[in-house]
Amino acid sequence: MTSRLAFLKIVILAFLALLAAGLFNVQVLNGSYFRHLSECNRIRLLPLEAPRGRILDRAGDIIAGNRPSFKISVIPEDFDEESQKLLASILKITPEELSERINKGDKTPFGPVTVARDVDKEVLFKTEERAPDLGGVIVQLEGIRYYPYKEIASHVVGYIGKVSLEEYRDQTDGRYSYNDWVGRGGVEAVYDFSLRGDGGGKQFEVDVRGRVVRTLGERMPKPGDDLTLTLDMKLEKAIWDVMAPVKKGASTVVDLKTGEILAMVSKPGYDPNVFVKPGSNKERLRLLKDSSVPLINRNISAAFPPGSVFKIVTATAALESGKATPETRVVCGGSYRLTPHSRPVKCWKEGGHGSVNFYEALEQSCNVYFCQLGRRVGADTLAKYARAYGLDGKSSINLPNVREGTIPDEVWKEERFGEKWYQGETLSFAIGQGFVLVTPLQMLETVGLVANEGTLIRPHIIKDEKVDTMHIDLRPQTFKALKTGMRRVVQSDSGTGHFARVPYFEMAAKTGTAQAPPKTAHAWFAGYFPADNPQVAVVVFVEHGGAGGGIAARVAKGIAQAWKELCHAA
Amino acid sequence: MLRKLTRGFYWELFWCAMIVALAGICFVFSAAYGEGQNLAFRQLIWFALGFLALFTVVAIGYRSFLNVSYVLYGISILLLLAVDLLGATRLGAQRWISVGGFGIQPSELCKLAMILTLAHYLGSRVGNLYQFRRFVGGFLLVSFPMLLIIKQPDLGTALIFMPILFTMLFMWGARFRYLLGSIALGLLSLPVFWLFLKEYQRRRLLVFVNPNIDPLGAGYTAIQSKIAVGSGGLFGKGWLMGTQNRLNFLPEHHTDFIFCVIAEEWGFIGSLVLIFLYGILVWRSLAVIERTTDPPARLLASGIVAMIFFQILVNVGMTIGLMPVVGIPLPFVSYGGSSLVVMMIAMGFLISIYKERSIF
Repeated sequence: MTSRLAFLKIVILAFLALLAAGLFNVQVLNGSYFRHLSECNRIRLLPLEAPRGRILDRAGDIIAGNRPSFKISVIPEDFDEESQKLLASILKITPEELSERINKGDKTPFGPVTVARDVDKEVLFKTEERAPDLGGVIVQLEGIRYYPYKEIASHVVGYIGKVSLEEYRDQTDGRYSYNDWVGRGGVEAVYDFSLRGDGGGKQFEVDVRGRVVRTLGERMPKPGDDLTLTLDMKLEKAIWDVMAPVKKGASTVVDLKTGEILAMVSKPGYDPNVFVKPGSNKERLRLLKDSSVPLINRNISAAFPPGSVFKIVTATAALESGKATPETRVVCGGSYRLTPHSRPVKCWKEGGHGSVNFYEALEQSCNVYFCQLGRRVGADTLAKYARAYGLDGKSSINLPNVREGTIPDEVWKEERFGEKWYQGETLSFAIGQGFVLVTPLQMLETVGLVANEGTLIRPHIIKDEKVDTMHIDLRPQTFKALKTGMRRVVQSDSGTGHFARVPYFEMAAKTGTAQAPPKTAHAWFAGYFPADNPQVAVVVFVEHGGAGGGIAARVAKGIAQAWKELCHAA
Repeated sequence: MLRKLTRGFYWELFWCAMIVALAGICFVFSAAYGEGQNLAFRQLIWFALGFLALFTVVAIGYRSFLNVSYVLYGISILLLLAVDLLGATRLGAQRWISVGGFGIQPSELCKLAMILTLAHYLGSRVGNLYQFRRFVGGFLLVSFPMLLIIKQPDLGTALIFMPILFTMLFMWGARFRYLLGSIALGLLSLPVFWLFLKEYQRRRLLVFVNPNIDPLGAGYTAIQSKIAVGSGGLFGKGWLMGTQNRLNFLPEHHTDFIFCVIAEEWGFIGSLVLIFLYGILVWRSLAVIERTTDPPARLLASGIVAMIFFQILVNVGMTIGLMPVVGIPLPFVSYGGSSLVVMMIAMGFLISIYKERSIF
């Protein structure tokens, strides 16, 4: 024990001596060097931003990149009045305005404050020229986010904005630096973490005039990872042009073999560049306040009544439950009443369709026929098959703000309104009106499942993303009946979607005209082509666009032509 | 009553601790000078509390504390869990719980409870019988609170547990092959440990190897603290004259980096005087071990000496680049109530051991 205590004493003495020696080394031997550094406060710290990863389309075309630009920063401690006057004159502002900009900036001792971003060449050259007279002024290269396609694909790509003070303060993982950029919409937001990279910095010694003498330490920034999307920007642009007459609407095209989304257009669009370009505050405010909500991706973030497109679901329910066969005939007299005293559901055709079978009813979108089927299967069975198509949940696509669909049934209504279900509501439900709401992407998934006869690789937006497969388990003859009927919608002269017809191949689809009183109805078109060997599925939605067989079908035709031209390797 | 309390009192150690603590308040005053907050005054209140605590411990006697050491151990574990559940997050770590406007740091209290428990556990079984079992038992006792503290995360406080444990095991008489074997095992498990560290903690350790890899974060602190210490030179810049401190170059300059302020303002001479004072303090504490024959008391004193000494070593060492940057307070000096009170209580234990030696 005593010998151990002696050993402990020796260890303690040795370490104390080591501390004293270390202090002697730092304070006495190197004291004058460190004093020199501290007296002049000559160490400066310069954060280096990591370039944000690019966003590319399937062919490697840049959708979001970085444009080199120059920014001018000032270290206030090294910045004297002479330099201030000179810099102000170069920037063409008053010295007062310049000092105001400096005061507004982030306050870290001897840290740079940015006073001008994205300066033009003339300012840059003048600043470099006068550098000897501009102590404390730093010119830095900075990548400004740049979206060459502007409005096109803006909803998928998203935009970036400055991190808010709250986000900066409340972060736990040290991801954001002060005044950092952060993804705000689309994949910019979802993949912000991998796109942003890791910032670096540089510590250097300056002389009395604030000029750099030497670098003491440097950590290079780690650039963010590039992100490749499934989009085909040529097709995306072509569809954007096809949709020129559409003020508000949405359209998505998916490759049925791979589940890759080839194009996703939402209108109105917005130019993501305005969120990063200095001095476009006015345009930014306009976008945020616009009543047509241009920032919303109407394919996924808004739900609408599907109208007659929903008849695909009603038909599925009736055929699967055995309540109808393709030969089932109903006489359409132009309207349908539940009881002799209730309000009639009108068929869109004045005077009615007469006696129609399943194919004719689907082809001509006969409301009376599908009200009958709906009444036969009941609301709960309709809801069951709507859920089987995935219409009640959210599409799992890697984009922000995906909206849930609404599929009503008796339990839902009791919970939501505390009221019982009325039989008349089953009739509305059967023709896609009333409570039922879906997103355009969900309607696309529905026709995709029909086209592929039960399996569809989940539509996704990131290339090589691992996704699951959607399933619906139906009898082969059900698929056959649905596909035959949908083909006739476009290919038959009396079909509601015949405006979409193209000469190269046959198309199969269902149109919809969803009532949205008091305004004009919404126009829908959801289908796939070629009908005999489905390659792609497409949905077109035109908010308050009128009849689905009109504008929506015409847009679909344009999409089919563009696809044939750009994507179809004949 | 008072006579009974002061009979056989260890005045040398007491005054030594008082001098360092009062000097510490002056340093806190300087470190926080011009920041509007009267931290020195708050520290003075804590000092008064610690003063009372010291005499209370002496009056009660260390044996009673050893007897309830497992209860204290349990309470400190509960407090650590409480921090996890309702603690305040300051500087990215949950270390404090708030009691009446004053934050207390359970990890500091836990250190002392841990030393008491180990002293009691090991000290009541001296000898070679079942030594391995006791040895492993000691490790298990330490590992539980240590993991909780790492989780906060407070790497520095957690790491200081290890030298304390080893010193106590060493003084207990553990076989050398056990001691060396566990060190070897510890080194082998370092890669696993690495995985559990937070990113900033890894950086701090990497920066210790090469300060230039992170000039903005941990490396910045390492470079700036060295500049502060070095710029003090031989004689220092004078009280309240430290520019590195004044200009906010140093983070946490009134707590973990207070030595930078001292070294900058008082120079090498001042630093050496402080190191010398600490040396006397440690030496006086070691004398306590020699003067008692009660095995748990010897271990208790060893643990306290180890706690004080290694905190000094790591804290001063990190300011001059000899140790990695971890958050450990400088004993009696760093601003912080829990740390100061715990140190004063520890002094109380040493004085109590010194006083009660005559029983045997």
